[in-house]
Amino acid sequence: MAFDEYELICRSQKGDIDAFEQLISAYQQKIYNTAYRMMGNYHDASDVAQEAIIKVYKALSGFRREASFGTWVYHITANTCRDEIRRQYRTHESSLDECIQTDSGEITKEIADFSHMPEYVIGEKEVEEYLQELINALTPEYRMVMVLREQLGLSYQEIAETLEISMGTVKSRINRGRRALREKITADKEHNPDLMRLVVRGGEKA
Amino acid sequence: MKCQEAKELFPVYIDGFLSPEETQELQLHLEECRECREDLDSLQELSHILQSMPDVPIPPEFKPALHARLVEISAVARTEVPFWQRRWTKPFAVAAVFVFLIAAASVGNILGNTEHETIALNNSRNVSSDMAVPEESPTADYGVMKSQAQKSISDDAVMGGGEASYNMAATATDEAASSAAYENAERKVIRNASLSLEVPEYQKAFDSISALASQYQGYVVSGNSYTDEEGNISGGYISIRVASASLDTVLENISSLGKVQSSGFSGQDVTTQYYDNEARLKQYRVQEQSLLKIMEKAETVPDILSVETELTRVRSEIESLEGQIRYLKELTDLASIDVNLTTPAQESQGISLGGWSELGNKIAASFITSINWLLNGFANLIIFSGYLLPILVLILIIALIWRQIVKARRNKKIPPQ
Repeated sequence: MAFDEYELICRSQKGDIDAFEQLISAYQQKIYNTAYRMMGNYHDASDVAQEAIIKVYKALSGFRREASFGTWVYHITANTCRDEIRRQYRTHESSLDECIQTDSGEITKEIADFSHMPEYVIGEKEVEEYLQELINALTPEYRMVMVLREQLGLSYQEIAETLEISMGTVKSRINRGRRALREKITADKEHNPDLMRLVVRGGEKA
Repeated sequence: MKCQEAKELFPVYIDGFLSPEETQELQLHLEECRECREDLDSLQELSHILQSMPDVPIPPEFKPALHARLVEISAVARTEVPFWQRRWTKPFAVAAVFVFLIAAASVGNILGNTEHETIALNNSRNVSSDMAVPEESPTADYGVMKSQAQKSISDDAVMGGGEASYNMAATATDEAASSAAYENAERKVIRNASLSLEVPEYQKAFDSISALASQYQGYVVSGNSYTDEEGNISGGYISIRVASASLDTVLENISSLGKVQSSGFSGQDVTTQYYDNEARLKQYRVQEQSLLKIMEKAETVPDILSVETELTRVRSEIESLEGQIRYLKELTDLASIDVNLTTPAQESQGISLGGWSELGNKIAASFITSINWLLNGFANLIIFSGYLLPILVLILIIALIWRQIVKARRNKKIPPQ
């Protein structure tokens, strides 16, 4: 841990808000990215990111520097996202374990619902939006695993602990999630030349 | 390795968690299988694309909103900082209910004790008033003295928190030990009694007491009398000795001669001293016998002389011990009684002071009564706080535990580091 960060943590633990804002600024972008990819919109993303940072601030006095500050902050972020997603789905009265039934392809049935995807993709900004739509289309269980892995960079073990699922489940969800996304991209590529640079090779059925 | 097995390893391989051995096996397969190679490449590409998605622009209002929340939180935290001021109401309420339940179980016990305490307090108050106005009990007799002594003992027990009873127990143990050492031995106690007596006729009382002395195997030790200005005998003093065993009878007889104004009693246990002396005497006698035997065998003059010297020393010791034993025996066999005799004061025509007499003393007495009463009150207050202390400690502990539980629940959502 860098000396500067150590000093900032000490000052933050004493309630110095300026020091805390300086401390968290290094992690803020990643926290926000994760929240956005997970929630799919700016409104929820801002709420979740703020909630996560507030939790970090409140729990800071209990931080004992056994782990790196970054790892600890990302754990809290992951848990906050998980709680918010579960809360939203509880209020929508649908269980996470239930499959979302759609008219879209059989392969992606239990993993994602691409039925609301935009049809045409033009330009770089649209490509990014297209990818976000892909992630949004994943069922929450798959989305959480994928975002924790690809955005936050948590290990399989850490994902398993955060979501309280087995390592095997984590591995299988990552595998199936990636494949589902790839199939969709491959299929859309035929209609959207802009997507050509996304997945250059592949396209064969897995 | 089959394609299916290989594909299962793909995610782990892409994320870099595959062991070196498995990586080697997988790479062997990939070299052979073009389909798997392409599958893996495209998945790897996808993972790369997802990981390198551009940063999401943070809305401009995010930081100010966060800052506001932080300021709000630390303001709240600052106002509720002192731990003894916050969130104690509920823990204490819970703890109090808990303790109340415990207390309810033993409430009879506590009430019983409190009652006892009150009785003790009343007792001690009685004692202090007795001491303050002794002249109000002119018929005071032996029994009153005894009961006073008992009261003062119970008073001590209350005030000293059991110390007195401990001492009494210790004395009892000592006595038990010595009586064990001199078992079957007769107790040797020097008994003394003194009486102050107001008698109607001095000479008659004096004669009766002298008669009592000789009646109970004793004698008059000394006596004197004094007269007032008009030449009448107004009072006197007589000291007698009577057989120890009949002391109580003699005292009763003397008491019946007039009004007892004060009485005293003392006993000195000399059992140990008496039998020690006897033992030493026995030892010296044995020594004397052996010296006499040596004397018979002694032939040279220096031998005879040295044995003589030793014999003389032993004999003088024997005499001294015999004297002491005789003295103790006499002291214990005969109890001594000192009697002070007074006659009622002649009617005088002087101004009667009535309630004004000894006004200062009476004020002082009531002052002392009041002080004693207050001191007793404080002592009982302190004793009662002794009852409360464990209960308060228990309440505090339960409140702390409750707070910890609530705190732990609140923090459960924040993950371990």
